[in-house]
Amino acid sequence: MNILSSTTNTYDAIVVGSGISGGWAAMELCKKGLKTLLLERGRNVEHVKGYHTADLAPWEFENGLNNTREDIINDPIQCQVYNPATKEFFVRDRDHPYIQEKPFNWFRGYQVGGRSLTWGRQCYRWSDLDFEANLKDGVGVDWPIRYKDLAPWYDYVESFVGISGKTENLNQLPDGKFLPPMELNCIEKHLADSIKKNEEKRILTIARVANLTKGWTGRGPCLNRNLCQRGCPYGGYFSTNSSTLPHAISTGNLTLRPFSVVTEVFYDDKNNRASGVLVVDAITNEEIEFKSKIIFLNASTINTTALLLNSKSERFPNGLGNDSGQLGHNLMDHHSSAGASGVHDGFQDKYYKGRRPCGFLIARYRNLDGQDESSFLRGYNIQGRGERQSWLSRKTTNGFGKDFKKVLTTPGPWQVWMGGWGECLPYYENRISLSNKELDKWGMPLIKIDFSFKENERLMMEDIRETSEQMLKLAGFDNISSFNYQKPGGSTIHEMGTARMGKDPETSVLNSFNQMHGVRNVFITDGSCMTSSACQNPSLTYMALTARACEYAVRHCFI
Amino acid sequence: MTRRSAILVVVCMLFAIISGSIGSILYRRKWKPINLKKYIDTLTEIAEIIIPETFTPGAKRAGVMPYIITAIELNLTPFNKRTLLLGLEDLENRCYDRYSLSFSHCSVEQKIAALRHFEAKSNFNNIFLNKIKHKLIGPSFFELVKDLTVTAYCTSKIGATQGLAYDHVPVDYVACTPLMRGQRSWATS
Repeated sequence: MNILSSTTNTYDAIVVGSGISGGWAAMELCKKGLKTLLLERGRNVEHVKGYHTADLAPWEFENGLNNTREDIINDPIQCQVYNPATKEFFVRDRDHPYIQEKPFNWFRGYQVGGRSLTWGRQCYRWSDLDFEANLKDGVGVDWPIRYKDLAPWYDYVESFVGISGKTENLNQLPDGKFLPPMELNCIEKHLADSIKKNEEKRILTIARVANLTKGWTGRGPCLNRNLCQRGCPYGGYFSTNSSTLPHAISTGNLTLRPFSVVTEVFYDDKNNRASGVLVVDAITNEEIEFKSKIIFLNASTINTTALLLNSKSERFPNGLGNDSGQLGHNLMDHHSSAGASGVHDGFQDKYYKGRRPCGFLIARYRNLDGQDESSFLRGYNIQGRGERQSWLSRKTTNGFGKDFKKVLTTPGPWQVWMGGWGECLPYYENRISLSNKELDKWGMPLIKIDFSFKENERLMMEDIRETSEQMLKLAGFDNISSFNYQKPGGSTIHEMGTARMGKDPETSVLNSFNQMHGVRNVFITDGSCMTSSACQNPSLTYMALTARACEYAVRHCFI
Repeated sequence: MTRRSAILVVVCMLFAIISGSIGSILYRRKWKPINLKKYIDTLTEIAEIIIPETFTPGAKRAGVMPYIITAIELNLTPFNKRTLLLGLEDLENRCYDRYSLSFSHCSVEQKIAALRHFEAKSNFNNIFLNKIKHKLIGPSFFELVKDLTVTAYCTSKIGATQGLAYDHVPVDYVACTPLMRGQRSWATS
């Protein structure tokens, strides 16, 4: 692999962004023999070497795992999701401002690997319930693909990634090619039994995660430390850094260029194709042009679309590929701030050992093939976790001294927390656009984000709250407190849409192979391509779409 | 109690909390700066009373002070830091008044009595009123020192590995184990 030292500026393929989908694009294209340039705006993070806090014990942090007041002031957005162990994998807000037309939390990781270093690792397949939803509900535009188009690609990516999970034969949540599942603990099993007894069509199962329960393709297994977000020296979970990047490198076809901010995609009007990209070096601000036959944009939803909006030409005055006027519109994010928690006084003689890096999932049970009549469209899954209260909860017990210490250091009662991850409809008015006044450090216009959840999502949040509370009640939990924090968009870190796939070039940006309708050598397979959001964590679907699009791209565009 | 008199009681309590809070905020502005270094010994002794040596090490042996100082300097809002420092000053004044001794030189029983006084002051018996109080004037002195002590202890090497239980690399997740008599809680999750 070449890094930063290439003598050529022309490649077979350019991939913009090295996150979860960009890493896949780079690997697939390299494996197919293409000399590929992978551009990443941030610094390099080498697998193992780059994980500076991965092996630190709690007492090795001077300030514990607390953010300081300075963190809160300097990183008002990012500090909501980082701690001292993971801070280096999140941007500094001051260096990367954006404009919130309505409140929107935009969490980003600008380094090689992107947010594949810090992601939640949950992997769930879509079903036709999701692909057909827009058509059935008359919302947005129809997906140009169905489950049968993507199923072999789910197989393909899962075989490489390694997803642990349990087969459940659910129509709305197709089973994958699983490694052995992680185990539910006794309170979770109790809750699962209660749910099955009370609601026969509802299932609580172990989460399906990209953590390895056995050694796989030279990585892992996961050693149950639950410190994934720091990077895993054992390769226990899937990330660009641990998985796709090393494979891409081993082909000898990859050039990785970090510190490369792509600000424009060039359009060659004569040949009706994109000819290359403009890179602004993140450190020197030097401008460099790179050319290629194929371009994959994987800079993450908002960045990919901002790049397209900034790539204007006579042919595309409103942004590259924007014949439809849909570019920037239909932004979605899951909502995930409603649910319930409760305490159970049973199983006092049981505990667990190890720190399982995942929780449980209650698969979607609303609006399955017209089976119930909710006040809202689409649905949600519930994600949660059961554990015995630790010192973090016990410290608020009254008193101090010997007796307090005993309470503090003894496992408390069992407790379950659960929240709903809910679908967001595509609304045209939820959009990103570019400022015509303010620029960032590299000359890119600041991004304006105008997003809000609407009535359908709000009704769903209330349903999540009510049903979570009810499930806990029926399972004998006490001290149940339900919540609906109504956090702003972006808080789930599942931004999707703004360059959607569709059958008709007049109402969509990409075709059924993630290929730009108007510019046939440009492919987009990050979250921006999504036509609807479903309620499943989306990364697995990005990976499958990417692998599929790469095969198509090489077959049809690489001459 | 009739509804009217119950409402009256709540309104009076709210009035008392609000005016007390405004009073305490205005009053503290007249104080000169207080130096934290003056209270290192006091804090160490407070921590040991909150989490004493028993069959497992207490706060002192766990070496909680460096973390506590760091946390006070870096994490507390200026308002909460003043609450803490004023509380320490009050505590020392109370010990001098009652026992003619600094807190550090008091007997264990005297220290416990002193801290009990501040613990009692810190909360109402009513969750609703506590929530309002917290919103207006934040955590009390006692709540602050207790939280700092507990976090310092539970994240220290001795606290996590001897006061609690710590497994650096578990390898396996065993979902259901019997809880043994005297088994301590996991330090991390």
